[in-house]
Amino acid sequence: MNTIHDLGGMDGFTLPERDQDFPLHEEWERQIWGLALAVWSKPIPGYPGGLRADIERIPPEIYLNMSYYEKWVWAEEVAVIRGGLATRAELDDPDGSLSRPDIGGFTPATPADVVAFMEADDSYERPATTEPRFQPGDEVVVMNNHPAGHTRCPQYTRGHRGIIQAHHGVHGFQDDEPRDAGEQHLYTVTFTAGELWGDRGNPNDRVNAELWEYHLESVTG
Amino acid sequence: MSDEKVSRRDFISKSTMAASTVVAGSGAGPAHAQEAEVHEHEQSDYALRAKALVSVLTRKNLINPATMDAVVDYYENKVGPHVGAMVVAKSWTDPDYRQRLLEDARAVMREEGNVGVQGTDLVIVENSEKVHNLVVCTLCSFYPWPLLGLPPTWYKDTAYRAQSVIDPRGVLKEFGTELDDDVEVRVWDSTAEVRYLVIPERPSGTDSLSVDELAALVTRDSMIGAEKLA
Repeated sequence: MNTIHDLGGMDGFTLPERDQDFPLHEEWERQIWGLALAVWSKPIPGYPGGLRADIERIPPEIYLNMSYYEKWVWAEEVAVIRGGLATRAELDDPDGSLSRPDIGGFTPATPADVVAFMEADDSYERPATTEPRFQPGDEVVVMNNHPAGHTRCPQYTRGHRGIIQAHHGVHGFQDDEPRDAGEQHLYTVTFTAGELWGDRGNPNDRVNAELWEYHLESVTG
Repeated sequence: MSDEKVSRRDFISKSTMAASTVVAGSGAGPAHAQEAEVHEHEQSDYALRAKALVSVLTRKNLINPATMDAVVDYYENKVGPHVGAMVVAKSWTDPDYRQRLLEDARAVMREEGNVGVQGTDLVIVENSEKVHNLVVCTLCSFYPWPLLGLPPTWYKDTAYRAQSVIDPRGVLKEFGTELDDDVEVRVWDSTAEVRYLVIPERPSGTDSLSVDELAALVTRDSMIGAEKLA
C-alpha cells in the first residue's frame, strides 16, 4: 500500500544523531522485543505475532510520531486482539480478571527454544522448480503497480529501468497480492541515480533493490 | 544545529498529536473497527501498554518471561557488531577469504556458523577508494542480525530511510563523511530477505596489527557504510 512506511526518496525529515548504544533502552522495549521474538520462534495458535502489514496500516500521522518499538507494541496489540487471545478490556486492565482462550494445552517457547530459533539457518531460498526469466546483465523495467495490500516493491522503483545485478534463486513471495504468485525468483536490480531521481541523481551513483520476478518486465528492443 | 533539531521534533510531535486526536474522534469504517479500537488508545503511554500486554499474556501462560529475557541477553551479550568486525578484520588480512566473502558470503558464514534469524542470506560488499557502499531499508528495518546484532535507532529512523536512496552523499556528509564527486556511491535497499554487510577500507598504518587488534578498530556503523574508519 502507498503509505508512510514506503519512505524511499522523501525529503524534509531531519536526520538523527548516530546513536552508538544498544538499541533496547527501556525495560518495556526489552519486553516488547523479547515478546516479538518469543512468539515468532513458536507462534501461539491464532496469533502469528505482530505483522509488518499491521505496522503499515498505522495511520501516517500517528506512524510519524512513533518510535520503532512503539510500532511493535501497536502491532502486537492488534495481533493479540485479532487472534482472540485477549480483549481490549483485558489489555486496559491487566491486573483484572482474565478470560482464558481455548488453545488446547499450549506451552510457550522456552529460553532454549528461542535461542535455537535465533541461531537457526533461516535462509529464505527455496528449491527452484522453474527457470529464472532473467540473468545478470539483463535490462528490466519495474512493473508500475500500486496494490492496496503489503508489497516489497518500493514506490520509487516503479516504472523505472534497471539492470539485473544478481539472481538469488527462488524465495517466498512476500506481497499480499496476487495470492497465487507462489514462490518467485528474486533478483537484485541496479538503478542509476539519474534514472530514479533525474537531475538530483549523481551520475556516479547507483541504487540497488531486491525485487521478485513478478515485479519485473523485460525490456525489449 | 542540535537545538534546531530538538525544536523541530517538538513541533512534529505536537502537530501529530493534534492530528491523531482528529483521527480517533472521527471514527473509522467497520472494516477497520479493530484498528479504530487501538486508535482510541494511541495517545496513552506505550510503556504501560507494552507492560500490560506482557502481563496479560504471561498470566494466561501464553508467554514465558524467561524467554523474553533470553532474547535480550542473546543480542546484548552474545551476538553483535563484534561478530561482523572479526569477519571484516579477517578479510583485510586474507585476500582469498575476502574473495570468497564477496563471491558467496552465505556459504562462508555457514561454514563458520555465523548464521541466524534475519541474516542467513548474506551479501558482503567492499568499499574502496572509488566505491562507497551504504545499506538501508526504506520499507522497514532489515539488517544482518547474526553479524551486527539489532539495528541502531538511527538506522530505523524515518529520515535515514527516506533520504539514503535519494541523497546518500548528503546523508553521509551529515554523518561526518564527505565523498569526492568521482567516488561511486552504491546504495543497497534491503527490500527482501537478503542482508548486506560492508567491508570498510582498512585504515592506514595498521600493517603490524593482529586480526583481533584490527577487529577492535571496526565500528558497527562502518559495516553499514555510514562512516569511514580513520
